[in-house]
Amino acid sequence: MSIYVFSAALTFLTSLLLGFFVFIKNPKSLINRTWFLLSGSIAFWSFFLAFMFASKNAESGLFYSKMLQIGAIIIPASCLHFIVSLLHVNRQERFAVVASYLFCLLLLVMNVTPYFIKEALYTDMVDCFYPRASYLYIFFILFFFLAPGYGTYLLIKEYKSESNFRKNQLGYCIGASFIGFLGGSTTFPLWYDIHFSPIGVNLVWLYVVIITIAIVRYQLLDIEVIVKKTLVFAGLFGFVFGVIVFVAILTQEFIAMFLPHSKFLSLAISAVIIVLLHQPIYNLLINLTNKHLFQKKYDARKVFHDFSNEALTILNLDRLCRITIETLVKNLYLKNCVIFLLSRDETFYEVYDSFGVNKQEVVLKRDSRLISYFKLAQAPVLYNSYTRDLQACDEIKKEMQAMQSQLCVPLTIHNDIVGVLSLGPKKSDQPYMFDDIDILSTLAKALSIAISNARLFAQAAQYEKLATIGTLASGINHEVCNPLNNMSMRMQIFMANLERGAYKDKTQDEILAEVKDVLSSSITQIHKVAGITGKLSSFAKPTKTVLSKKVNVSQSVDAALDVLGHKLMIDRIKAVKNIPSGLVDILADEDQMHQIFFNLIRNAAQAIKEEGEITISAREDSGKVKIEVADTGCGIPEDKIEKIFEPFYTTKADGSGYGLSIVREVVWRNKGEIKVESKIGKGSTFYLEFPKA
Amino acid sequence: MGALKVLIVDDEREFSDSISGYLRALNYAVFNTYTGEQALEILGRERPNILLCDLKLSGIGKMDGDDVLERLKSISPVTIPVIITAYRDESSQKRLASKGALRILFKPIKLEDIDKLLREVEENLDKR
Repeated sequence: MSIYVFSAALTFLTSLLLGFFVFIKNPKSLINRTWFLLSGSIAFWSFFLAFMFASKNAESGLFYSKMLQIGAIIIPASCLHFIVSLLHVNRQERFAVVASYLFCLLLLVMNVTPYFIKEALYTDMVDCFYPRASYLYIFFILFFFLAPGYGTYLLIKEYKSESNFRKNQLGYCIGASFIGFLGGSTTFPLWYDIHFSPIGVNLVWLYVVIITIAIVRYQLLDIEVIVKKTLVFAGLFGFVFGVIVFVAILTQEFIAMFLPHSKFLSLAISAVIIVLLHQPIYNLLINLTNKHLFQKKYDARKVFHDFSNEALTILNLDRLCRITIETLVKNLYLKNCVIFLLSRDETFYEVYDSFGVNKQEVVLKRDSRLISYFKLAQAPVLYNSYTRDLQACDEIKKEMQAMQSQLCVPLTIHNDIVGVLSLGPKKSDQPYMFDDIDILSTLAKALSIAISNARLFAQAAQYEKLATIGTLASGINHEVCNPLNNMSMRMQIFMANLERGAYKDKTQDEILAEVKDVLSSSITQIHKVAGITGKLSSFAKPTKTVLSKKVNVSQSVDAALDVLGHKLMIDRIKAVKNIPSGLVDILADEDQMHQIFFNLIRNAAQAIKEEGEITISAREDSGKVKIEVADTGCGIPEDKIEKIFEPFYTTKADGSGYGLSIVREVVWRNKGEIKVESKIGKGSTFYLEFPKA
Repeated sequence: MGALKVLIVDDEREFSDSISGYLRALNYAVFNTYTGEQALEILGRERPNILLCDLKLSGIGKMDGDDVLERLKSISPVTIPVIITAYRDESSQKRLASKGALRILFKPIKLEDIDKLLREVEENLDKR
């Protein structure tokens, strides 16, 4: 068995496996399919080449030659096709591909005639029956160089204008093509009786290996996993085969020393040894390949899992976007990442949150091509794609440049593009893989839902605020109008009295005394009004930040009772305060504490409806201040008690169900705790706990 | 004929007292109370010509202007009810009108509105 047979067999094995796995990985992608075709034709060719190099007579030599020629004819055309599908094609190049396949057909027809391959003669140099060329064979040789030559020219042309990463990929392709075709062409001389050894055949499998390295290190064709499997499989196969042979030979020799006719026994013993060694060898191979060939890549499932757990339950839009961006930047090593969201009034897309870019510099217009594309396609776009599916057209590429984006994923809710998730280049300059895009698409869908939730939540919060204002308004109105009326009446009466001469007989001192009385009463009334309006403002302020300071619990409760007092009076609800005067202050945001008590007392009043009692008590206990708000209302059923803090949960027909969820959030924001106990028909008690100041 | 009898009911003492004093100085017969219960008692006893009543009152039984308005017809049908209140919502106005209130005066009140009102009632009485 000559070395040529072995080379050809190796070429067959590697190209077949590689082509097969590439195809399985992504049968829909054009690149994967053309590579499969190319690999397949190389495999076909090398298969019969092996047999040809082992041929023992002229007939078999000729037969195998014709067979291998079929593969050889297809190789240049499929190679050109593969290269063209790697690059960004235009009509001219596509035409070239079609033309080359047509020429293939022609050559295949020629192959059948005796004017292509003349005969197979025994050739000493290669120790087999090697074919000889006839008149028409020259066409094949031209084709063999022209088609891939044109492809290489295209590669080189593209090479100049690409990123470093892509340059590496293409460089390996160009280098490999050179070696492969140069190697293949060394078979030609012998066809014309020129005594040149076809040593190049030994290099063809090297072409396959170089492309493999490009795949592994520079992620050409996006098939790391495939290569891992191929290498491990091939390596294992070869290794185990070698071990079997080795052990079999050893045991045979050993046993032969003692028992001369024991082939069967020695084989059996070898088999046992192999079975035992098989698993550890397999593991060793896998570990070695992992350690030396593959960089640590992020575990996509873990990213999505972590993201789902942490981010998707966040109802605060700012935090949701922040965590999304942080997760993506960290795990994909991004240079930048931006989340664009449709503005409230739906007129433009604003940069809601970003990393790695200046907010003013990135722009996404409402009427951009990108958005129109998303409306139609509902799929991501890549600035530089290796398949035509996700490639952005030139106009969209310009828009993506303005966004400093490499990959744009739409965020859709009910067919509306509510935003765009834009990812910049990775720090390693590596391109986005099919896996990445898969994960990001799923993540974007989940993110869209989370955004929708957060927005609804914010909207409900708005409604709740308005409802609160409604409640406050009537109370305030009354509280403000009465003091104003008191003041106004006294002044009007004084002026009226003055006018009708009621003070004619009074002394100046007496008049002055009356004036002073009116004025001081008015001042009192003015301060009353100021107090009420001041309390109102604490309910209108947004609750985003926490300004912690010493807050007196009793005063805070009073503030809430002041604004609610009117409503309580109407509903004939008694409010009882059980707060010791010397109670230590708590550390919290004053306005937010007002809101908490306001909400709890109002809730209590609503539970009571009419005629009842609300008791607010507080005490110090082990470094914390414990507060209880108890009511004699209708109570909460046991199976619903878990739910009352959930947003949107309400038993009120006109309620938004919102107040208690906000209360709990505000309590937590102020480092407090809240829980509730209740009995139907008896009432409920809310237990709060805050750290003391 | 005698002086016009006026009953003023409002739990804001500052207001109630000052307007009562003023009207008394103008020779009206003014009765002044802070609770709904007492208002009903006076209504039954004195049968005033006009009642100026606030909507929100405080008292032991928690009677408010609405309650007084309702009981008015059975206790003292001659009394013309006028409500004074800070509530500006339309539904209250409709409700009170349907219960028989002649007019609703919104706080803060103009003194001349009270003057006008009293003169109007006087004129109507004289006509009879």
